[in-house]
Amino acid sequence: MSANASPPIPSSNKNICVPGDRLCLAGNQCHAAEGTYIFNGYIYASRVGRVSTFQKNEQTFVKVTGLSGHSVIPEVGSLVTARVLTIHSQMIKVAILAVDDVTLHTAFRGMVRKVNVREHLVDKVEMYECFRPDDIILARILSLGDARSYEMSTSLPELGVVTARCEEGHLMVPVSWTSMKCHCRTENRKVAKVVPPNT
Amino acid sequence: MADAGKILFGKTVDDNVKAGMARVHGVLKLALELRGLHNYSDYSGVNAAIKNFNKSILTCMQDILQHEDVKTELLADVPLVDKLEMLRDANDCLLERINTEIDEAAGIRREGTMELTIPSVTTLQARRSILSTENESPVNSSMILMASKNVQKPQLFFSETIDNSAKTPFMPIITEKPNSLKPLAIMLCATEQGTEYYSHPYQYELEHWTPDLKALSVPVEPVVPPPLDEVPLVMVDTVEALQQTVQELKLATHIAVDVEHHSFRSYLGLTSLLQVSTRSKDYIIDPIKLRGKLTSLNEVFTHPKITKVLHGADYDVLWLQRDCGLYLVNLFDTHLACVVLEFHQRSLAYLLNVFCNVMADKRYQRADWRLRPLPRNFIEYARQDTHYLLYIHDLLHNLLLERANGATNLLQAVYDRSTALCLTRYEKPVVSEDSYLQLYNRSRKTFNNQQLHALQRLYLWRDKTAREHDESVDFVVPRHMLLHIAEVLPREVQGILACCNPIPPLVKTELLTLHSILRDAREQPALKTLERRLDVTPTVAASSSSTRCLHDLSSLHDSGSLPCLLDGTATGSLSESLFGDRLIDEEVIVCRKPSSDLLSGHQKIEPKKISTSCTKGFLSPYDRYRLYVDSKVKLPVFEGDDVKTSVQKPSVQKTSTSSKQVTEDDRISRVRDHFLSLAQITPPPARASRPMDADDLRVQRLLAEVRNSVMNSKPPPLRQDSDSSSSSSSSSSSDSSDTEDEKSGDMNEAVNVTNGVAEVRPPSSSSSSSSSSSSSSNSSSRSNDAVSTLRNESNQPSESPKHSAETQEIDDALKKASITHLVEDYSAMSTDEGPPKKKVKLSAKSKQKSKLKFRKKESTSADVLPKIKDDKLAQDIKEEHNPIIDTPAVMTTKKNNQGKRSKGTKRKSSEMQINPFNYDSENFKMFQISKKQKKNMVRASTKGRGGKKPCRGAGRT
Repeated sequence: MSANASPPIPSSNKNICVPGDRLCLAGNQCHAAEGTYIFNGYIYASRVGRVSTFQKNEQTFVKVTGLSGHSVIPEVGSLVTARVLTIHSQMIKVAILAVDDVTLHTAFRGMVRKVNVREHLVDKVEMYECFRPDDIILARILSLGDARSYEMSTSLPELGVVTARCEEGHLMVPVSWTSMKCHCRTENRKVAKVVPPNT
Repeated sequence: MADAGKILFGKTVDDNVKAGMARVHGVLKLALELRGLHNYSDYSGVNAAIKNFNKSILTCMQDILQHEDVKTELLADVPLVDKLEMLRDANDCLLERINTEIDEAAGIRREGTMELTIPSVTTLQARRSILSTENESPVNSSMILMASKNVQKPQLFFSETIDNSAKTPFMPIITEKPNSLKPLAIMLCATEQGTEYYSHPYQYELEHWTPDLKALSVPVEPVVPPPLDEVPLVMVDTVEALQQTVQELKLATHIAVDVEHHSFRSYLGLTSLLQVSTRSKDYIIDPIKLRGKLTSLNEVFTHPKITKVLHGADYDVLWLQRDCGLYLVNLFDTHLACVVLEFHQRSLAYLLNVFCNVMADKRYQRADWRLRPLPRNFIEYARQDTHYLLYIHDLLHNLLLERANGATNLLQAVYDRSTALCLTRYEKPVVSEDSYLQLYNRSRKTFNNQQLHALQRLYLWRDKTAREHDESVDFVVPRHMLLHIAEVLPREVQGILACCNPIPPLVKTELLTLHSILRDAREQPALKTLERRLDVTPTVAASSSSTRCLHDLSSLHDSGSLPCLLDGTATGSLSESLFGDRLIDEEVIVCRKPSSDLLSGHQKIEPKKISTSCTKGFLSPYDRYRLYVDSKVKLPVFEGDDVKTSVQKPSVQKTSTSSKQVTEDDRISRVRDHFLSLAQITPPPARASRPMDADDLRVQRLLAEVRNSVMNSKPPPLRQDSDSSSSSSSSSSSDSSDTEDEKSGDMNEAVNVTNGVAEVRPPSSSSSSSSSSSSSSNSSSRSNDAVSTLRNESNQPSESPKHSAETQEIDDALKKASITHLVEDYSAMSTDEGPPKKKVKLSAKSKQKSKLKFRKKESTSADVLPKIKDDKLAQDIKEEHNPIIDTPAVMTTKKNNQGKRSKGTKRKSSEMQINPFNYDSENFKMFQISKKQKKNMVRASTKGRGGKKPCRGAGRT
């Protein structure tokens, strides 16, 4: 029980804890979330990391998040940010850079099949008119896929290309949900319906 | 023969035949006369014989019917018709009985009616069925005796009503408290979660009770129980017998107790039998008959000097509290003793087998103990449960002492745990909205949204029904059926029945409710994203018993005041923690590299300024997504109300000019503008196949109205204008219909159809001018001259106050379809200085009204301007002095201004204009097809809609 020896630390979001650190009283005020356990009426840390509290359903939860922050892996249904690597006629391959709001330490591999690019006119999708290598896309994990890569989908208005550069490397802005433009050319993309970057 | 006849009688054959026939006739005559019965009645012998037969038959029938317990009076002196009637009734009765027997055999009898009408018969049958299974038992020893079908529910005869609802907590039913240290006080308490409960009446006594260890430290001499038939059995089912029993039990030092429970046909369950044994006597007490009167047993059960021996008393304690109001003080649980002794098997059957060499027949454990009178073998089983328990207690007692080398610590542990068991309170089962998750998680099935919804509703329905009917939830619908129904989600009523085999009776009666639940579930939207199961944090249970705990809790005795990491009161610096200040949040600083001026001799931009403007608004793609989703919730309507934006505009301008601080609302409104423009540029994909939406209909209606009113006020001048004007107008309209997206195409067509005079457009009418002005604003780039000529001809009535409001409205509606406006917006977005001037120039060419409109847009574009922080782009724009950045619209305008006014160029430019707005690859390809092909395609596509457009196309060529 290292709990007894651990010195008091001011409550802030930068609190570092080690397994066995007593975090707070368990009860109505505080509930245990990931990285913690309840023992003898107290919440204890079960891993090394930062202690933080968050609100959910009007209740306070205590969690311990790892220091490197890459313990998260994509799950079915999570929203990921990915970079397009290669484009084939039937699918694109991507590197998953972030899961939800957590940036990954090392990228996972994923792919988007042709049928999962958009909701309408699925037969007429031309992969090269929707993505280009090096685009940054938002996608949702459909399934864990095969051994190599996660299977993802962009078939929602708010999913698709968020950042892209033209052939000459200029940053492009969307001019419609299907095309993006820089000062030199217009290229076609499956544009994500998200807030523009500089609002 | 004939010859022989001739010879024989000397007469001819004919004569013989004649004579014979005459005789036959005579005989027939006589026989006919004799045919009726009444003729026989003349003979006394026949009469007597008939009477005798009659009587014997009737007696026989009467006997049969009597044997079958059918009351008839066939022997009575009544007319034959009445007797036949009686016989028919008797037959009906018998058939009825056969039917019921068949139903019973098939297991589809309505027992409610049977229970109430002929209880005696059914009880008999229940017993018979059990006896029959008993006969088979040597063959099939794993036979489980479940509830008998026709036992009347004992709850129906209880004086008090059973409260199954979870609203009120369980109230202890004792009224006096024998052996009390503190007077009886049942207090209403509340747990930390806020649920109320009544306190344990004997809490104080139990907490202050300690076993007399000195007396216990001596090993007891095991008293071998005499065989069952040598010990008297007392059946207690009257108050007097109970009093006698209590007096006798008071004299004992140890008593063995066991409880039989029934839970299938009652929501809360029913204590059905109470067995008590002393060293010399067995008692079987009937708690159903003596309901509410058993509290007098508390004198024995709570007596601190009398040791109660039970096996596995966890539930017995609760059942006794609930139904009998009985509490235990000084309990010795043989199961807990087995746990302390670390036996690998702890069942009573094992103990009986090992210590008493008795093979317990545990099949009766789940028998229907509500049955009265109790069958002999039931009683034997019940006796057996307690009869040997005291002997087992003695042996275990000695074993515990032996294991502890004569010390009493193990005995103490058993008594401590048993006392803790006695302190448990009975609580009614509570079902919440999430209770079904337990069932779901245990089932290891994966349900979608609809199935989960169905399961939740079914689960709640099952609990509600069970409480209402006072049946167990498993009687209403067994668990596996519930899961199956929720999984299959049957569409029809028959499908529900198909999921159940056998069909529970309450499912049959409440079929419609079930069906409506399933229908509701089917209407739930099927969500793609899976809902995660409730996260359960691992909880290490700190055992109340100090001897069993795996953890060293010696330092944690002052619970509630230990120092914690997150205590707000705690002081100290970060450096005191294990890692010191080595792990401080790194701030993400994004700054742009100053672009090298090696390759370009263009003007530079202050790097400092860029970095601030860039880092300030850095948003990760995920943040941008979240912002969008949030704003979508805030502002559900993104499309189709321009008024709101124009209202909000001044504030945006103000804030953007006055300070760099951007408020949430401003940002949302700006985002909204952005989306509006993008959505307007992007033509919806399946527009052609879709029926017109509300906007289109509105536009169409308005146009028709205006047109009609104008035509009423001023008769149309039916092609009286010059040829050039009409041709130009038609060409402009056709051009616009070509270039505009499907939406406005629909609209134009709608105008044509509603009016029916596509070719005969009145050029002088306000509606025409408004529509052509709008189309000119759309296609001003390529057909400026045509429009201007058109305008020159039709300039007067456009400003007429009568229609100005309506035209304004139409303008607003058309604005959405307008492309130039958006392109301008975009160019304003993407360029810093150039476009507005150019646009002003462009708009100066068009009419005053479009100018007005344009100014409005200009203001919007001015609003957008400061938002552009993409410095790279801005830089590039500055470098290039924006000759190329112009949108295609502007480009085409230029082309037109250069004087290439041939139709070919015009059309080419119109095709050029399609380019940024095309939606899918097909359009993209279309852009590349040649002019001629395109025209054909347009024609082909319009042919399906109506005859107008091809006509126009023909006119154009």
